[in-house]
Amino acid sequence: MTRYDGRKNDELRPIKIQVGIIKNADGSCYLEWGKNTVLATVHGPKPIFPKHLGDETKAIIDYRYRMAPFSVSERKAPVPGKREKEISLVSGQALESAIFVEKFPNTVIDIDTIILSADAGTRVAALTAASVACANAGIPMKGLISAVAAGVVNKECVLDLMYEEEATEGTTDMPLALLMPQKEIVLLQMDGNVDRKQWETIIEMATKGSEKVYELQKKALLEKYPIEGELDE
Amino acid sequence: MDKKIVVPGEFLTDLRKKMGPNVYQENGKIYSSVVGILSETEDSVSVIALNGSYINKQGDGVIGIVKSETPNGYFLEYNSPYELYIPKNAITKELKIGDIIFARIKEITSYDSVEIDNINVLPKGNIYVTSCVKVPRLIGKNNSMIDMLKQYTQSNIVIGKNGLIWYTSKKPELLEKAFQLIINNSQKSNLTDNIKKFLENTNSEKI
Repeated sequence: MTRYDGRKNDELRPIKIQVGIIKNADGSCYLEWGKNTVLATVHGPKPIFPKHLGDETKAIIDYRYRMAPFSVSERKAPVPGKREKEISLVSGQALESAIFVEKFPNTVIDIDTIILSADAGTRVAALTAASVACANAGIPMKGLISAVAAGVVNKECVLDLMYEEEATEGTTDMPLALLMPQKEIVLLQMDGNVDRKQWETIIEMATKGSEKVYELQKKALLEKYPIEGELDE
Repeated sequence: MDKKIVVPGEFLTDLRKKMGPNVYQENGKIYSSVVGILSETEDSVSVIALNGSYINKQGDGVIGIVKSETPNGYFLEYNSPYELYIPKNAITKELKIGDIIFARIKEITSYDSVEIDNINVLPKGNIYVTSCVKVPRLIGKNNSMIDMLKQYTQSNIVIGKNGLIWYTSKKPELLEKAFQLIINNSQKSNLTDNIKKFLENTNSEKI
């Protein structure tokens, strides 16, 4: 099967990651993933108000996933909907499993991700960007979170679905986030039906895809801190 | 040995070594927990972070800004996830909101509170805020960097270990530019020499 944009079944869309581009945040990341563009910022750890919301054993992760009104072809109402709240919750929990939250009791870490333009796979793009932003902010972590979606389109297993594929009838879409390099699954959702063989194939595809995403995340972080060269202003 | 930058989760060693800051152990192997410069010796391994928030350490001299007053004391902001508390009986002078304080951490009483001594109110000046991990580079080996900055920009500088810098200067713009350069290039070698070149060039241009 040839895909809409001519990619192979196990090929990712082009990904570009830039680290530390927002001055006012402790950590930030700008990510372009095909036609998706995401901006992620991290503030904290910082004191939590009101204080009763704090946890004496760990830091609270306040993860916000929002789509800009102009991110989709028809204007989206700026008020967060059910979908955004659900994605914020599950992505926050996924990120919490990567961060050493117990090092900062009674604090909050604010993570904001904004989808500037959307073309399917935004939750994985946002999570990938958020984990790079956390690393940029110097928050101690077990590893980076690399996420990618895989699925079944017209009975063929494919990696990194784009909008046209996701909108095809009968498509199965499975966002998967891995804690890398440990390869622990921290987020797994699925929409649609698959048989056992397809399931094994898409899990393998997504795992390999995440490894590629991890390499790009690592590269972006290392590029931010060149060891040699002229002084950087 | 060449410097090596590591990222969170990167495998460092599987030998039994003393663990310094910013590393963690899992199944007998040691990994990095932050983005930073690897510092490995024969018997220890640690990572020097390139960003991060301040965590209290005994003996550190820190700078704070008075944020609020209660009947018994003052709360200070000091670039940390927690607040610094000064009881009124520890000082002889009344403080105002916005005053800049330099103090030493005497004892850590719990994760979010500390006892402090050697409390000094700094005179009127400017504050520059950065991450606490940049402080060793701003001071330099045997104070080389800070002495050079003082000399070239005719400034008084006090650096808190928490990343707050108090200064008064005759060339504040040049000083801030130098701070910015040091902070953005803290992972590079020969920083003092390069900053010296920058200061010399800028000074001669102005003449």
